[in-house]
Amino acid sequence: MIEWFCRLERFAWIPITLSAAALFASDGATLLLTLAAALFLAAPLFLPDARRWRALTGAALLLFLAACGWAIYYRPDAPIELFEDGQVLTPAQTYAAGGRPYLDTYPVHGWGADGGVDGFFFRLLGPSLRTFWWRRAAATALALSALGLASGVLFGGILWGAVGLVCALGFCPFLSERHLAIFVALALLLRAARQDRPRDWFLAGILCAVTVFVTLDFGLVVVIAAMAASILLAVLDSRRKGRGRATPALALLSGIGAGGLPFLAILGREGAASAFFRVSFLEIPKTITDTWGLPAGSASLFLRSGSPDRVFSALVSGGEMPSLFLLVVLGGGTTLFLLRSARGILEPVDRAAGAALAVAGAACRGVLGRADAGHLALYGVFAGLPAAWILYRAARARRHPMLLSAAVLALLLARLHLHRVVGLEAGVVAHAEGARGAARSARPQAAEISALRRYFDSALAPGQTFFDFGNEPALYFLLGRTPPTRYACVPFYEAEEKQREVVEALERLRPPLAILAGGGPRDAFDGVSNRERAPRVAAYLDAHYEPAGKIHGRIIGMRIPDSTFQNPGARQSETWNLESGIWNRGAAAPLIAGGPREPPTRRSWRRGI
Amino acid sequence: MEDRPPRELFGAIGGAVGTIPLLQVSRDLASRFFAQPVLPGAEKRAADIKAATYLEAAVFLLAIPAAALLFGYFLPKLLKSRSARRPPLSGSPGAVFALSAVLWRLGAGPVLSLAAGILSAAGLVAVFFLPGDRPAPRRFLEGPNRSALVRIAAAGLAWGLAARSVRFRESLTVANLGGTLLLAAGMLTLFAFRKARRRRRAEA
Repeated sequence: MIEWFCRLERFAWIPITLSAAALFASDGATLLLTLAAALFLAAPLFLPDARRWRALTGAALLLFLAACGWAIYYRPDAPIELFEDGQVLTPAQTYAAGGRPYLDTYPVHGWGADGGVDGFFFRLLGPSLRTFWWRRAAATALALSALGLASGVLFGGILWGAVGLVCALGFCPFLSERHLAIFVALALLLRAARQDRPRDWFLAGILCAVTVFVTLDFGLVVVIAAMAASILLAVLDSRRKGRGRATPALALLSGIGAGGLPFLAILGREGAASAFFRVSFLEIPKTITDTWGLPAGSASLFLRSGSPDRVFSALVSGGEMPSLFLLVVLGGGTTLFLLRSARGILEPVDRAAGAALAVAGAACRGVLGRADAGHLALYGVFAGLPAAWILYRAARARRHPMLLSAAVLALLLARLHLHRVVGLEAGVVAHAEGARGAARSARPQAAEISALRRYFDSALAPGQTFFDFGNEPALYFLLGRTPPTRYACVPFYEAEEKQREVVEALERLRPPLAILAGGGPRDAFDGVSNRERAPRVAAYLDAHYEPAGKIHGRIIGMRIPDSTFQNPGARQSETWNLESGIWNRGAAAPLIAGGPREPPTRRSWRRGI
Repeated sequence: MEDRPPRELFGAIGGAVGTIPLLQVSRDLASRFFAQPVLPGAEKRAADIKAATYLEAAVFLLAIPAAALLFGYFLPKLLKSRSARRPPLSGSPGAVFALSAVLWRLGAGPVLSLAAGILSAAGLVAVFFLPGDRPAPRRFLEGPNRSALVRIAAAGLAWGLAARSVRFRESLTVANLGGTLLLAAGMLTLFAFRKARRRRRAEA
């Protein structure tokens, strides 16, 4: 009996794998769970007692994490976020139609993230929302699994790996599909830092390069952090001498070169290589902070003026400066790492923690750049592993380990609400109906899109398009129209030369319709209106478009006919009656659907109403 | 954290805390050398300079850990190596350096506060090098000296309270107060080094 019990742990992978399958399965989940329990209890009796079974537990746990991720993130009934999802869907549509990256699109988040990956799947499976949902859920589920892998690699075990994962989820309870590439790169980087073998540094370099092309911001974070880690670890590690200290950095650089070559070859074939470098490393860094930045607050002002209890309260609650806790964690982690390296007691877990600290430190650029809760979560997730490592070190301190670890744990629980995170994630997995193919409710958004589609299909000829000035790029995809410019939203073309480019494109294509305003908060990101952000384009729209109707809050402008151009497909003198579905020739004002009854006027649009 | 006595941990903490005024130095430098945003957006509307935020983060991620390393490891090591016969209270320079954060919070300028902290720490380091059979800092804590320390501390507190009161009644600014303390710390350092030199000569 005791022997059976001792052997049981080697077969833990069986129930874990079958439980993952039960999460995936729409039918027969109960049978799978019964089988899992039965096989687990019986396996020690009929399977040979080999140690290799034990190694499968880690792989099974990663599979289980992916299944949980799928249950959490596969939401085919969720509404489309017309701005966020539009930055992916519309370029993907362009790529699927043969568009070239960086010439016909403007991928701010990276080639792959802004439509590149979805364009590939659109070509493979067809451009549909189902393909998009499927791809996004799969990528995010794998990101959760990759985060678990990175945490496991850092600590070299399941228990502390789980602690690291929970700490990371404390910073970011729900991951993004954009995390996938960097988490895989992080896992390989941590492995390289632990093992310190050139082969591992080379592999990490390859993934770093892939991340640059998939998600530019995360790619730059991981490349900078990996370079810093490879150099610093070689310098701080007393085992390496002389020229051997350059080996990790050289191997990493070789990997980055090897990983980047295929992408550069594709871009070169498309004639977009120089555009890639110009957009990614010149234009975006030059404008991104001005256009998208949000003030992060001043740590010095706060630390100087606040009373100690207020400072501590803000540190714990994140009230006045949400990023303060993250900075304190990283500062504390760096101090601990430097003290250990100075004393020459860097263990593999410390080396990996050094690399994790470098990644989290580089990601501070994203946390502090657009300093809102979403970006704190998106980029702050990397601080979870160093936070768990501080707890790990506190628990292993020679003096007062209980006291130290209790203090660190109390701080982490107070700020990251780790206890709630576990419950939240488990609750979402437990109640995931979409993952099991449950019935989906009709979305109000579907009615809204249908109304828009009816209107645009009636007003535009098949080859014609419209211009969106309401920051809802997903409408191009949903209405089946080609975007007239390569920019997905107004803040992308705030620079003078880019506004000129947009006006030239509008003058060349002369879209018969334009969405002059979306009627929601997207008309004024961060309280700055589109008119203020792109005054030249707004002036052009003022001069050439007349408000003609309002559909679900959106003000639709019709191009004013001029002597130089007559658009054969457009019916500029007509307005669309959405309720009767017929054209009113020469009607004074159209009926309004989903909005106030007053017809929009040019003045009301200019006021941003 | 494992092998070292907790005093050096206090040194590291003190070093880290004492570096906090550098946050304001970095923000002031960024405001002077970096331009405001040009394109429309929340940054321009708030007249925020993002470089100041990044420099503050760099202080958190680089300068504060470096100071903790200096006061929690390298300085104690140096003190130990220079006074092998009498192991000093090696974490105390870091603890004294934390004075700069206290001064800064009291209203002194960041550069002045940092200078005061550095000079105070240097003064204490100088005390370690005073010759004698027993380490000078320990002598402070022995027998009758304890009551002397209590009296000195009481005098310091009274002086501090009076200074706060005078600050409101007269135009004694906090910067002046910091300057007075800085001068006192500088004089202490000077006298300590001078005394040490004379004793060494006398012993020789």
